[in-house]
Amino acid sequence: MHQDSNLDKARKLDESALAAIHDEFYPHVYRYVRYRLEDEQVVEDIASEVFLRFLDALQNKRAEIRDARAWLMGTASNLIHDHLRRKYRRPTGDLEEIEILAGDDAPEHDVERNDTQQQVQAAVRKLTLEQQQVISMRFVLEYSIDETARIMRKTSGAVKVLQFRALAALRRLMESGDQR
Amino acid sequence: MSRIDPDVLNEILERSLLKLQAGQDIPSILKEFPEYREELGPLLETMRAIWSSRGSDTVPLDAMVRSRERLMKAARQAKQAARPSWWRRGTGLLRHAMAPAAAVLACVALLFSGIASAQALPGSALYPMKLAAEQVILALPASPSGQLARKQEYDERRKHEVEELIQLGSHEEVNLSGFLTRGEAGEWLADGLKIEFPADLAPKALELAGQFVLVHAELFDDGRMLAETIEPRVYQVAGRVQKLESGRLMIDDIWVQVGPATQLDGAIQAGRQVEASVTRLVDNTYLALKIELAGSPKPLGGPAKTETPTIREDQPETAETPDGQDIDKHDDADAGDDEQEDEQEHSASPTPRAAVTPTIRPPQSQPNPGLTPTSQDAQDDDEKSGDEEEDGEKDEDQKDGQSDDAKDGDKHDS
Repeated sequence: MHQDSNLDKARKLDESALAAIHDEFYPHVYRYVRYRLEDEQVVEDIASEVFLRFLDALQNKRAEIRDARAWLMGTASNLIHDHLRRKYRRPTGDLEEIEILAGDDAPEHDVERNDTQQQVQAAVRKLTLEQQQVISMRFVLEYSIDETARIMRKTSGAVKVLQFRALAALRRLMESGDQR
Repeated sequence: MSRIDPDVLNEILERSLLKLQAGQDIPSILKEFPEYREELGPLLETMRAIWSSRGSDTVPLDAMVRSRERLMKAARQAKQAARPSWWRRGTGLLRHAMAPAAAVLACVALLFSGIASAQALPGSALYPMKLAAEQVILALPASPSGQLARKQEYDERRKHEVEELIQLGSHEEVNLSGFLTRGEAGEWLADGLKIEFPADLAPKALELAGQFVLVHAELFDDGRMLAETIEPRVYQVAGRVQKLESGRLMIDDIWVQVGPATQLDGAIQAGRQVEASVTRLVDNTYLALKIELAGSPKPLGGPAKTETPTIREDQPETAETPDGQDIDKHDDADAGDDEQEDEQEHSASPTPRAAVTPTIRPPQSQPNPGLTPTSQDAQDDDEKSGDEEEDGEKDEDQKDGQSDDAKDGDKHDS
């Protein structure tokens, strides 16, 4: 209810409502983007851009926003994916079909890192973009299956399947030690 | 490996993950699902590894603040672009209407439409006409005191309009003039009406507290008013100096006080035609922020080279600049950050602001040495001031319509 009222006010460009929404969701967006990307500056830029897009969408009557968090996290995912696609110049398509899209991520940063945390993150970044997304939402932000499904615009069943595959793929990557 | 129904396995994985999240250890979970131990074990281990890789939950505060500022700036720009101000529309209309050939017709038309739109409120179709009609009336010849009274009357109208809009629960842009004060609970009041200032305007509000100000604000349907700009409300008074007394002078029947911070340009003498920027004081008198001789040259944009004005006693043609009384070059453009383009003459900065820090340093005991009290009546000096009066055009001292903020050209590339 509180969020609805803030959303209504934000549509009228009420600065205090916009600030409230920003402050409530910025930590979620930032943590999510940071888990997915390495470059701190890019992380900050994308997290900030998400809210500028939100402002644009609020004024676009055709793009009605009902759930601010779902919209913000979905947009963050899209911006991350755009960034990664540009970075690797890979063809777009059905992300489910691209098994290892994000390989060779930031090689100069990952070299010689044997810290467990870095190894896991490096392995996560080798998953498909949607697998990374579900892993981040479910296990980093600890969103429920339903929340994750809403953000990813999938059914709960599809998210469960995706999550299962993501965990299995990650396990294989970690076992093979091929995180680079 | 026995054939496992993926749906069942998914379901069990989900339940196991919840248990793991709830703090249960992996061996005990696997004991609950022995037939899935082989598949489940590695997945639960993987999830635990992900958890351990999450790193810190902290979010850098400075990044968050930068992001919020960027959002607020964009919101302000969007607001500006989304709803072209009726104020701008009204004054824009007037500017076109005031082209010499059309002026007379426009005056007549606007006066009639002004009557028709007298009750119009901000946001209504007739409201720009109401404002334009007011400007036409202000452009008509009148004594300085009459002009001042009209301007104050129009300021009063603005306040009544705001009160009506509040009652109607309207969401509109409004202008409001009045003394900026604090209420009992510490809230800001502009002419008694509660108003909020965003964080970036709060320092300016503090600076102008107690002064007569002009606030441009957004009024929300719940009656809340959020200021967008605030500046001192300054009136222009043009006329002949009739009397000079210690600490004040009379310009065409209007007594204007002169304080130590009043900026004086030229030799102010009885009989001289002057233009003064004044603001209201709480006792309904006026304080001069700046007084200059009518027709005195003004720098046009930037630090144009101008003759340094001097304080001159009663002998303007022979007087020398007194020691320490040189006047700095003035920047009348008053590079305010206010985007509002209006026809009112509030661009001159008032006394307390840095832009008009008194450039003459008077002896402490004197209000302002630029003024020489004299018993001379205005007509005694007629022949001396005559030449200067001829070419003394009224300087509207208008602010250029500055754009709001520099465009945010840093669209990120992702």
